[in-house]
Amino acid sequence: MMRTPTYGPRLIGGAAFGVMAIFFVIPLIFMIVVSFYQPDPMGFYKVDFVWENYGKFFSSFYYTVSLRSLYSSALGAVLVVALAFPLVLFVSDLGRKWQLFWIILLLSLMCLSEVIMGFAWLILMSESAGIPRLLEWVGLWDNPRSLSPSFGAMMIGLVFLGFSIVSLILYPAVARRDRSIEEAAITLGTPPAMVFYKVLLPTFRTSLISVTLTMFVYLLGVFVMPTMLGRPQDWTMTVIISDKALGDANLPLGAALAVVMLIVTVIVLIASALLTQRRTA
Amino acid sequence: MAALTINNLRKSFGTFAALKDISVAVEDGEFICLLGGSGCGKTTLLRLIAGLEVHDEGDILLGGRDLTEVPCHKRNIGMVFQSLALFPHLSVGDNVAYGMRLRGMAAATVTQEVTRLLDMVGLSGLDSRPVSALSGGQRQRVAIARALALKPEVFLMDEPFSALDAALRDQMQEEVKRIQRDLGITTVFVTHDQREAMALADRIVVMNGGKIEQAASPEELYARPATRFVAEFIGINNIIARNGQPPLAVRPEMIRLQAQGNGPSGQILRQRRLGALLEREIRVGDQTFFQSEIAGTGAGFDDGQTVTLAWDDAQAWALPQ
Repeated sequence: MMRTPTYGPRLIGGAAFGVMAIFFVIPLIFMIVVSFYQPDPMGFYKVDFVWENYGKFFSSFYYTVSLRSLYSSALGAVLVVALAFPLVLFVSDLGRKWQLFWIILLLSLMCLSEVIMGFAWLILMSESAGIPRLLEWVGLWDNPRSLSPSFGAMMIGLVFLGFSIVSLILYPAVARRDRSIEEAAITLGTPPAMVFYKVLLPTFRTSLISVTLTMFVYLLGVFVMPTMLGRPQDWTMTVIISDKALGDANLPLGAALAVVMLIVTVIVLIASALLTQRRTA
Repeated sequence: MAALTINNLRKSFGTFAALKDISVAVEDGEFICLLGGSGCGKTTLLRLIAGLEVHDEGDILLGGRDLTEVPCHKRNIGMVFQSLALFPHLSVGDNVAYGMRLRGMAAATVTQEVTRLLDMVGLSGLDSRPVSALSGGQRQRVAIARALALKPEVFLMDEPFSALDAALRDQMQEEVKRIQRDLGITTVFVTHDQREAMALADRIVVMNGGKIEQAASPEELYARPATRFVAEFIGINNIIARNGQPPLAVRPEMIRLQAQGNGPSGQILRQRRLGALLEREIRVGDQTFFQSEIAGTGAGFDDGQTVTLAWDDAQAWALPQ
């Protein structure tokens, strides 16, 4: 008997894919087109076809900002995963009630907006309250002053922002892992303290690389934390793009910078994927 | 001296007593099976021997050495887990070489040993293959080779064949028995399958509710179960209550059916042919008897027919009350 094909789920999937493609592709095309226009301080842009906006990227300022964006995003992503993975391992070994408590806590953090998180950290790192005062109180800092804005404060903000996301991405796989693999390593002579490095890290290597790359891309686009907690010299390309497009009303330059950053990000991701594949093979 | 001696071992998880005063001695080169249903304590006992759990009371001696204070990674035991627990990020050869490399053995020796072990388990030439590319039986062999790589003093296996189909399970049982016999390694094998235990073990330890019901050779266990639990667990036994006397156990294959005669009589409820074997259920009063024979060797009866049951007294035995 002929099997009747089921088109329903495919149609729904196709429609969803179409909507996503439209919402991604149309703004992208618009951004690419605008990046070739003439800047016009009076009206954002004049329709034209010039390479001038792309030429500006290769000035030392934008070049440095791009490198700094890549560096802070990469560092942030590595720090987030380096902190989240051990915590998720720890949580997954707790009892059901405690696991549920941690998941709810992480989900609550995700519910907070970036602005609220930024303000919370501003207060915590301010001179009049929070961490500096605490350090003074315990006698570790005689002359406390505000810890923000600074590169360190910005990195703390970025890590905090990504922490709950990475933890919740990693949790299902970590919680479902076959724990007898760790026990097998111990029976084969691995000291329990070394099981993390010898077995767990290598076992989850692919997932960890994948989530690090995801976080890298996510942190590249973060706007509020660098603005609130970083100094102007720490600002990432996202802040500069926004500054140029909205502050200076130079939409073509903002669009050109965004296109270049998109290309750089794609190159970094492809290179990372190729390197990972080669290592796995 | 026994290779592995367990004295008065007790283990509880919270209020649940998993093991209650277990004592058993395993001779050097002996293959014992811990047999029992779910929750009887067999896996807990194996994990205590491995050092993956810590016992509450009692002693575990390996070659005369008390293991109580010896952590798992220093016990020199080889263990095959129910899930096999192969390292997914390593190739077949690297899985087998893992323990040897950890001990700092020379690279040439490791390569030589990996080749020897893979040859022993029938996986020659597969050392560079990822474990994810192996069949179920091949994965079993890798787990066995890896566990034996460090020449352990005792070889522990926790229901390793439970996920295999019947044919492959039989094949792996033969392989394990051959390897164990060739190496002469003391082996403790956990299973809930009485057929598997019968096929493999020099001695079977039947466990129930955290206690040992009987430890005996497969032949003795089958012929003379010491308790009602063992009698029922080892195979379907007809246990007949008697007034003022201990109950009597008769195995299904020891019962003969006659159209007429002296002895209990009842009605055939069901007959089923299982390959060469014919099994029958006969209702006598309020008890169901099980009878089996090689098909075609006895008289034929119809379902619902009334028959008389008979057996030799020498083939029946009294169970403790």
